[in-house]
Amino acid sequence: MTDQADLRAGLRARQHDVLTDLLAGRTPDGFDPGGTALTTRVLHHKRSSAALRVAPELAELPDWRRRFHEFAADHPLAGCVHDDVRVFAATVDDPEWRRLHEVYDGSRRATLLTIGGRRTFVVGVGHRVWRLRRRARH
Amino acid sequence: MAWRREIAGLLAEYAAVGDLDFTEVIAENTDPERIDERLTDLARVVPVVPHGVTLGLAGADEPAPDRLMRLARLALAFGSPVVSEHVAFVRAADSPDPLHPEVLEAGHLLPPPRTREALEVVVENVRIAQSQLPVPLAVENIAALFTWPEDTLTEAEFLTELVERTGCRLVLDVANLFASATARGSDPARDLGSFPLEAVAYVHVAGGEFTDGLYVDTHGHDLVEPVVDLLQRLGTLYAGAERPGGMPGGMPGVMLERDTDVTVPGVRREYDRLRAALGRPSLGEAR
Repeated sequence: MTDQADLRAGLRARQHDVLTDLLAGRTPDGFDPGGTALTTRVLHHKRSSAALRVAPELAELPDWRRRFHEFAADHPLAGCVHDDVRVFAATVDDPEWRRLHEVYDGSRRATLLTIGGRRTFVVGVGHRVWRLRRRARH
Repeated sequence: MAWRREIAGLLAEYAAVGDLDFTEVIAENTDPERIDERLTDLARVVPVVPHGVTLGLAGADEPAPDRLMRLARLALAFGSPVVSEHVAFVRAADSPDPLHPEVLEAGHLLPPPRTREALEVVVENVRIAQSQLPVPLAVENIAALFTWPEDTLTEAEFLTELVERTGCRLVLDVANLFASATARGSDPARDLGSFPLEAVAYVHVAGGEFTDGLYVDTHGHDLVEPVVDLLQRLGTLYAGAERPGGMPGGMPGVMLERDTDVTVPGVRREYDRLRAALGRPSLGEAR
């Protein structure tokens, strides 16, 4: 039994070290840089895709995937996907997007901003968020 | 075809005309207390296999009882012939203390080192899982984009010994094998021949894309030609290409997985292509 516990401890330490590197975007010692770099991209992309599913407003933040992946490299996932979005949002230095995010998370009632080059009024009603735009003139 | 909500109607249609031999559901997305009615109906017609993705059989810790319980309950609810999971680690704790560990979640299937020491742990984990499940366990080879510098066993050797020592079955994922072989620079067709093919419960195949000279198993793109070729190569192995008379039972069932961009027309097209590659034209069209 002690043997089995020792084997588990050795494997645990090794997997923890390697996963720490992969999540941070570092090549673990002795590993192939190409395969591990692509693994990091897959890990980060899965995490940002999960975030996008619960926070569709991420798509309105310019260059959001790159920003999110940079954030992910410095912040190993702690907690659930909602926590992940909350912690990431707090790092975003874009007042307009922050207001949009606040409408989506329910802490702000409404905001006016430019989405896709058009002025858009975004308002939260219950658990739904509406985007209202002036009809395009011809 | 793997069951997904978006194509529930299509799979019911396939099953009704005999075009679906079995299907699979992701255990983590299926609450045993609230199973989709369409899935319950389908399970009356074809076998449904619960497929886990977060057990971490190749992790350092014993498989979690609650995750095993969910797989067991789903197997009983569906009357499944088998339950499947992956030879992968998905999280890593920094200490064995179950109360205060710092646990890193990968959110993805990662390969363990292929050493004797790691194999001992995986064998024990599979035995623990088997003891908690009401039906046989089949373990799947994952798509690994890297290997560990300390590896001393090939993937085929690792899986063969795991199968021999635990009596578990295998889910042979041909696209994953292709991805792993491409990344480690081995010949996928040769690797295929050295896998424990007699232990295969069923076969997985999925679409993917080439990135930076590597193959990424995305489950969101179409099947690529080399993977279809490899699948056909597998068919010849079961038919007896290297063993007179072939293998008892012949080629196991093949299942297509699609997890993103799941649409009825897209799945129909890929499913038809897969059937054509396997020489299994649609029974529905023949009527």
